Amino acid sequence: MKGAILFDSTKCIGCEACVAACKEKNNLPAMIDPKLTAYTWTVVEQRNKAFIRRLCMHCESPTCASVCPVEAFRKEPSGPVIYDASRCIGCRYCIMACPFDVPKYQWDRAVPIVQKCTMCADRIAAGKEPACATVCPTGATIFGDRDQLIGEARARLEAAPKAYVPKIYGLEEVGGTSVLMLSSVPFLSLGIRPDLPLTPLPTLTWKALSKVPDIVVVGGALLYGIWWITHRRIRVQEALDQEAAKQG
Amino acid sequence: MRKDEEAMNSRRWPEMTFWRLVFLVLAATGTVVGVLRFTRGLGATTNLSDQFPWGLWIGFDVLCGVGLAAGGFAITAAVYIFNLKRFSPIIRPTVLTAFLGYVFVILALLFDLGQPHRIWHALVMWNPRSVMFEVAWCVMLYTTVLALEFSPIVFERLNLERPRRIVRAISVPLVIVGVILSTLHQSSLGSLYLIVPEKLHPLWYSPLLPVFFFVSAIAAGLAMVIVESALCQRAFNHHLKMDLLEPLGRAMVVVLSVYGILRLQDLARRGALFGLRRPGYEGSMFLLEMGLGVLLPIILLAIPRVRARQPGLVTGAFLAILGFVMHRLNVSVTGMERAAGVAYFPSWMEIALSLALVAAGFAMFGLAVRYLPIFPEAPHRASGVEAPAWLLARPASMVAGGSPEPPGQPSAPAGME
Amino acid sequence: MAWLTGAVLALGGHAAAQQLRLPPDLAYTKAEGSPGKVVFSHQFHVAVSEKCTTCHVKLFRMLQPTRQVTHAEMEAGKSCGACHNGQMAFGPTDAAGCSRCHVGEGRSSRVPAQTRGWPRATRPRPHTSERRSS
Repeated sequence: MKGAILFDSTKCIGCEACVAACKEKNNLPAMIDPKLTAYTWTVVEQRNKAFIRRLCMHCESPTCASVCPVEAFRKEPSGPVIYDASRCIGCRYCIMACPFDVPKYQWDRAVPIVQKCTMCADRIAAGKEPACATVCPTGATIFGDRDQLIGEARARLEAAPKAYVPKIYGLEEVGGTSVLMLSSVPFLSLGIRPDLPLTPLPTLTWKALSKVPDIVVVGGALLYGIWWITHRRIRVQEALDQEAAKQG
Repeated sequence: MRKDEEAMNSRRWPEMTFWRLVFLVLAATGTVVGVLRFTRGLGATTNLSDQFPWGLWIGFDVLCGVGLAAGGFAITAAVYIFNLKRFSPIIRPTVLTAFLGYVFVILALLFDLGQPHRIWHALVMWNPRSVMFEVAWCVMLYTTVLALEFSPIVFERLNLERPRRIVRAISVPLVIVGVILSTLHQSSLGSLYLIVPEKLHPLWYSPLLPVFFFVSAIAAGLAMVIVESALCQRAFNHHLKMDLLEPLGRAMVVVLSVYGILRLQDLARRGALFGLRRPGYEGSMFLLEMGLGVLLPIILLAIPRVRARQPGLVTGAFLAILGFVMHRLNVSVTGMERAAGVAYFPSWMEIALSLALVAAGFAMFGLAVRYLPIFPEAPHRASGVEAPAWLLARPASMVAGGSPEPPGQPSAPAGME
Repeated sequence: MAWLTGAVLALGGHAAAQQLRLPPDLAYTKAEGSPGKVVFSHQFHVAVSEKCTTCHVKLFRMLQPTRQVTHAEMEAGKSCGACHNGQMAFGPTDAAGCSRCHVGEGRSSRVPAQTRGWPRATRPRPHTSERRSS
């Protein structure tokens, strides 16, 4: 099963049970930050008379995993994008590159690591649901197989088209995410960018990186060729000079 | 002269000049900041945040430091691959600048990385799909190449003839590898920003970012050779080799023009010039960067009368360097601020550390010139003798069998040998 | 004012109309010297605050709830005592007696089901969850 989360903003009452459960499950400090930080991995914001959850979107083709030079992020087949703190060197490229601004840093620590929602990968591995889905009292956050949740989302949009903006956020954004969202108000008004490219962002850098072997081979041959030509010219000139000196 | 020498020898401490005082202040402040950075963390010493994770230490120390040391690959390529031997006298100081520049970048990284003691992880933990991984490897390898290119100077000073010969024998392949590595990572620094099309301002974001970074690095490298020669002239009382530097100025006109045309054409093609009309300071920063840093140096250096005289040449080069630094900072800071939602300005500690590292680079350069045979016409003090004859001779042919010309013709001393 | 409060609650989201899937009533085990076990009802307490974070996680765990609370803890302001201290809500030494919480054998704890209609000023406020200001 490819685990995914469906968040339906129309069902969310802003009770923050998910926030509390996440804090407990991950042994995070009880202080709740208004935005995502290294110590608060999910928040509920009230905007435009609706509630929106912010958490890691667990992209199908995660940008963080692509940019990390030491492969500290990994997309599990079971759905979550997890982080291996033992590999991290602290370059913070993931923080810079994530289109959803999810990874956060422990700026206050002398030996800091990156922190973000893990979709409770260990709970999923043990056959349980992520903590947030377990405690949500309204079913705004539910966990399941990604394709099934997409089907569920489509069914809700069909059953009550007037209650929703006709969009499953995360279906296609940056190649699709494992956190899908439904909303009754425009996503932009909830602080969620609707203009992200539909192709995964890593394809943009791969276009440049895939040319590296070509540059090495062609460049090497070209430079050697130039050296050979210019050098030969000097040798020829020197040989001619020597001959002229002999005859002269 | 004798009296001064006696006075100098009898003095206990080195003479305190203004610049030495500046260096001491910067070094002391930098040390304190460095200790604070490692004991209190990045949050306490920088103005970086989750919204703005990369600041001055990346935007200036790394992005500019690597580019400003690009003169190394440009000049070594000119001499060893394009066989433009007349540039040989400036190879040694250029390679020294490049080597010190890359050491400076690596030191700056050790402060910026969250866990710098793990910097070796990239050697064994690979992610070939990451631009950062490629940058890390290319910088590591190129610094090794630079160290190798620099080693003959040290071997010569230590009279280690055999190692010097070994390195000299592989000089051409070394330079070729160096040029390729340079091309790769100069452009990769631009590629780093390809992944944020939704964050970087359209005046700077482009699929051609790697090309922009590479071409501007060439121009900046050449400009650095000119400016560094001018600084050496002031510091060590050298004669400025206008006959060598003026062609570099001419080359800069070409490179900067290509760069300018590439940028403008790319902006026009993407319909991004409207970005100038948007409200905000990005438009002004763009105009400043292109006008002061690209257009003005092109104009100045294109005029032969200006280019042929030292003030004009150095001003043009300096403006080009300014434009280069502005471009890097605009990409990494200005262009990212709007999307980040915060305005970033480095903390005094970030500025102090960067200045301290730059000062240390200058100091190391001065020490190298004093104790190593960097400049052919300025005999290094430690030996107390004139530069060795072979240094002033014509270069031996690269192919075995060529014999060096008799000494006495100081027109094209050997560079890397 | 009560009708206005109710109207606002009904407008803001579908909370009033929705069925909340709350945890079942929790039975706190009877300890030494206790007059009876205590049954905690979420159904009743969610009317106290619109946010679960008022009590969770600072005062009570969610995923692995503790099963025992002592009066000593309550008097120190922990767990139930954060509100049930005689000021915010009735305390352990309240005149109404122990049966407001403790269920003796054969008796259920009937407590007023609604706080709607109470004057707003006497409603306990969500002060106990520490929240950083934006």
